[in-house]
Amino acid sequence: MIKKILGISTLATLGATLSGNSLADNWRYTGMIRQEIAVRTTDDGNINNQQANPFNGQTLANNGLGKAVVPTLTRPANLSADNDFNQFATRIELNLDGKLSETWSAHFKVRGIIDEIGDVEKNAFKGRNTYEQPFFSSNRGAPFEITSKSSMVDLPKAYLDYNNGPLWLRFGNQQIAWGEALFFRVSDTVNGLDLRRHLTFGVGAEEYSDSRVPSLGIRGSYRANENWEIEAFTQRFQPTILPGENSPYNLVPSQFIVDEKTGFDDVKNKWNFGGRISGNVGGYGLKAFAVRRYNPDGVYKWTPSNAYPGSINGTTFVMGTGVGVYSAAEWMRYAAHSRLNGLATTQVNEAPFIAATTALGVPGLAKLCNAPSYAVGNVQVDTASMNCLLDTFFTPAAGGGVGDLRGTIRRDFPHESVLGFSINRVFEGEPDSLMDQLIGRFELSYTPNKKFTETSLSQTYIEHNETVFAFIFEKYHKFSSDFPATYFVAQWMHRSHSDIFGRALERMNAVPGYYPTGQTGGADYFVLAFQQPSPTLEWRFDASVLTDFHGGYLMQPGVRWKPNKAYQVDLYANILKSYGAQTNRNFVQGLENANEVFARFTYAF
Amino acid sequence: MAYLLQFDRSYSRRTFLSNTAKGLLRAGLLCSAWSAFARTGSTGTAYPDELNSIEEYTRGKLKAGDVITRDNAEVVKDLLDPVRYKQIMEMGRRLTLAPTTTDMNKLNPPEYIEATLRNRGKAVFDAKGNVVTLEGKPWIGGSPFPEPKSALEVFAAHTLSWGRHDSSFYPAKEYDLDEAGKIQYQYATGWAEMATIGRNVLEPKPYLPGQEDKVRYQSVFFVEPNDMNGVAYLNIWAYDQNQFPELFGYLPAYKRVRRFPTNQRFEPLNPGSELYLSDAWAAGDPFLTWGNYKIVQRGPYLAAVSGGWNSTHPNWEHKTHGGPNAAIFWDTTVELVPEVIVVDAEPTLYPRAPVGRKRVWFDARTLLPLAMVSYDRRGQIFRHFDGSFSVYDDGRGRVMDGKHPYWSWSTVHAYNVQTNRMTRIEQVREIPGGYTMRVNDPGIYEKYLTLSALQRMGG
Repeated sequence: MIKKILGISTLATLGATLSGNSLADNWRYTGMIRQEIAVRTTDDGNINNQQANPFNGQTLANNGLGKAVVPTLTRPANLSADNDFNQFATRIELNLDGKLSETWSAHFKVRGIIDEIGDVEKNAFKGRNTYEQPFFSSNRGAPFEITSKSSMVDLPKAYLDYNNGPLWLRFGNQQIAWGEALFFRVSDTVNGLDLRRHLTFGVGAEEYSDSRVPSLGIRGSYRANENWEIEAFTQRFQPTILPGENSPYNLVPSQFIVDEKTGFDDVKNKWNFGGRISGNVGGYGLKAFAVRRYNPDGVYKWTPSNAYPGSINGTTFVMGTGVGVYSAAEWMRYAAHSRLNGLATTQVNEAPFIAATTALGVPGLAKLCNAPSYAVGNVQVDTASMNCLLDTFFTPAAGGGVGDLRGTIRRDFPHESVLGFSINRVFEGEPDSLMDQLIGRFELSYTPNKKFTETSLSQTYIEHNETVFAFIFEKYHKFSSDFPATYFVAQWMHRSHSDIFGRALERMNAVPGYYPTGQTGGADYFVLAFQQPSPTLEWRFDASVLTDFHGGYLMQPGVRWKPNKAYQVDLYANILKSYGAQTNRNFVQGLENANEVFARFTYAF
Repeated sequence: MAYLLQFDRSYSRRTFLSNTAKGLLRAGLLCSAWSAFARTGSTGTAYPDELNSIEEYTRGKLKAGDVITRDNAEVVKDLLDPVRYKQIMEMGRRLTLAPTTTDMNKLNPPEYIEATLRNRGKAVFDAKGNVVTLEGKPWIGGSPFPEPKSALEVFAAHTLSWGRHDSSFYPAKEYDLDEAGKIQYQYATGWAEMATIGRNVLEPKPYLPGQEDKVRYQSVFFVEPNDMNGVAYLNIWAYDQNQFPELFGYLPAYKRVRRFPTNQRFEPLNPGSELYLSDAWAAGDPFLTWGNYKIVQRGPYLAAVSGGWNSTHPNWEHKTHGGPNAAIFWDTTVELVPEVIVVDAEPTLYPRAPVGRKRVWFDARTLLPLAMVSYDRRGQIFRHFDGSFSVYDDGRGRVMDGKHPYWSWSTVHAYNVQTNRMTRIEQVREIPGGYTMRVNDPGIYEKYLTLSALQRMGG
């Protein structure tokens, strides 16, 4: 429906029609139409998707108890499909800003996107869901959006501003961005991310401007004097929104069914709160903040599958879908890929599932598979017995099993407090020296008793007092008087208990068939980036490298060309490489499918 | 008989040279222009007739109302800087002549003129090189050196009060033209300034309590086009002119205000622009971050110190001419300014600046910058700037600033001689979004000159 409303030709016509930017004296609009294309530069597909599952068409030995009858297990080959494009979308944005009085103004932004990937990559993505999420009615991911599987229109900005002297209040749907670091989210704790469009692989220099998910709320600040300002907000809870199942940048293996709704319904009417004080003392910029929030990224655990067709009631599994896990090998590979423990038996031993799994005979089967422990509520396995147990279930009915299985998990959004501070200073030095006008920044956040997803998807979450801090150095340096200064930024982020995506470090170093051994000493990341504009700023050359100290990097070179007031072309590449031991120990492994070249063609009005 | 002058042109030239050699920089050949103005309300008696009238100066060849074109520019070649002469001869620039303005109150805001007269002789440099009162306090208003004795005093006086008002908000439109004279980029911007010292109108005055360590707050923000919508920068100028201003910026990509380094002042803020922060008011940097100030010339000059306001357009927008699209130059009215002081300066604290030297033409009476030429590091002419100013009262329309008609700048040309690219800027009544011109409005500070204002305007 939306696609019909906002067809490409309609967008183009609309853009061409909008030749002036004044609606009335006190109102203005601006906008743009943009074609966004990303072409994959690797053979690696997104293994979270059915179509790139490496087990498709593979015939593996059956380790289960029914192997005499069904000696091999095979994932259907016809699920496979390749894609060249990761992204093919048309976007239109309209900004409307108006002055209502000397103290009131109104601001709106409408963003419409048509995802044409299903038309361009018919085999891989035809009919796939990119945008629909079940948080709000009609499968909307956020309250101020209209969504279909392949298109969405939302209001990233819809608010009223009140400004009277030192008081500023903002009412409505809005983003709130805090923090000193770019890309590293240390103090940027207010809003989650909407990852449905280009995940976090857009232009690095644009940070999260397109993905920070807005929320209904009130933000206010009061400037106490020239040096100090206090700020506070309250916003309705809005979770981080993930790409749809089997869509190009899908993050969750599609053998899982994720219950996004139940956990969200528990907190959908909750509100986050926060405050910040900012000041300047002796040339140092200081900020301190506190946020009481429901973690928008959430945590995951097994959940009963009862609500889904094919449910094995009381368990965490659904059978007969044809798109589940087909073998123990697949189970182990995907557990490791998801930084989970493939040998975990919480889905059998924890209270919600004991009765059902016992009724299914799991303890008895464990015994037959020579599991080290097969007591009811305390089934313990080793690699061989787990392979046996899993394959016993994955064996088709003819061999006594149930066939492929999908696992059901849910996302919860724990309540937590985040405290932090930051400091910045512009250093002075001899003209043209390294220290001259070097900006140094430091920020730190502390979250006591932060909850993380357990390696076993247990009902009990991992808890840590999480500390995250970042050092940032920024510098404009002129190498030549003929060119504008080159902008450099170097950042180091340390996270005490989680990786850059918020996954507990206990989940790292996950190898198929083994317990994740985890990482100690925290996770560290380093970014080095530069921008070099041409003398007239018509061209801008960017390069950035995000390095994971545990072996991996994301490099993004690119160029922006703005030949005139209306047109702009961006051409960038995402180069991801996980090096060293491939043990799921860094943020890159598993994302190699995003090795791509992407281009954006913009017409602004 | 009309041309039997009491003081001929060679008298003027000789006296300018002689006064400069003696270090006598005050405006006026026959007497002090400020004294003449204080006594008679006109600077006319401070100059011989030939410097008060273009008709007298050209011996009747040109008069007010005439248009200078390539056909007659030779007559006034010695009243033009070399770039404007080239623009007229080779690029089709035209200048319309107006009578010489001799009322100082029409060359600067009356409150600034009054404060200048009131505070005459009360300014000195302190040990750090900053302008202070005889009691060692920050400057108290008006021009501290109306009768300067050095090139540094000329620059110092102007740098302390760019726009001559206590606070200003200028809605502006910018047009950036490519080498072929075609508009390549176009912007709608707002520029705000507020003085914290030397205040003549706004209470509290002369200082904003607690802010005596600063000279001004200044911001610039963009409302169009779409990709620049919300981009905003705030400069906070320390009173100590040895320090770089603090710079804060809001970039839509970051959605928050961040602190920026401020020494890169020789780069465009937006694609296509030939105007840098350093170029603002020909004195965009703290005056002690430049050095080697010296006076290189004095004499009459043709400049746009009146008639720059276009009241006939509802948004005060100006007409253009020149080039294949008639879009390179603003239609400009110029008059014979009897005396300018031409000052050279070098960016001593900016070793990598593309500018090796700048030359600024100041109206000797008001120390208002009329034009500027910057030179690259090889000594070649790099860019040229000229502005137009006006009392916003042309008999058909009037814009008030308190008790008096508004005085301000109207248009600016920034022309890159080496690339042939032009940036034109005009002050308009309003830019989209309801941002209208304001002057000496205490609300300018909260609306445009705080960090929360940057965040609010940015979105």
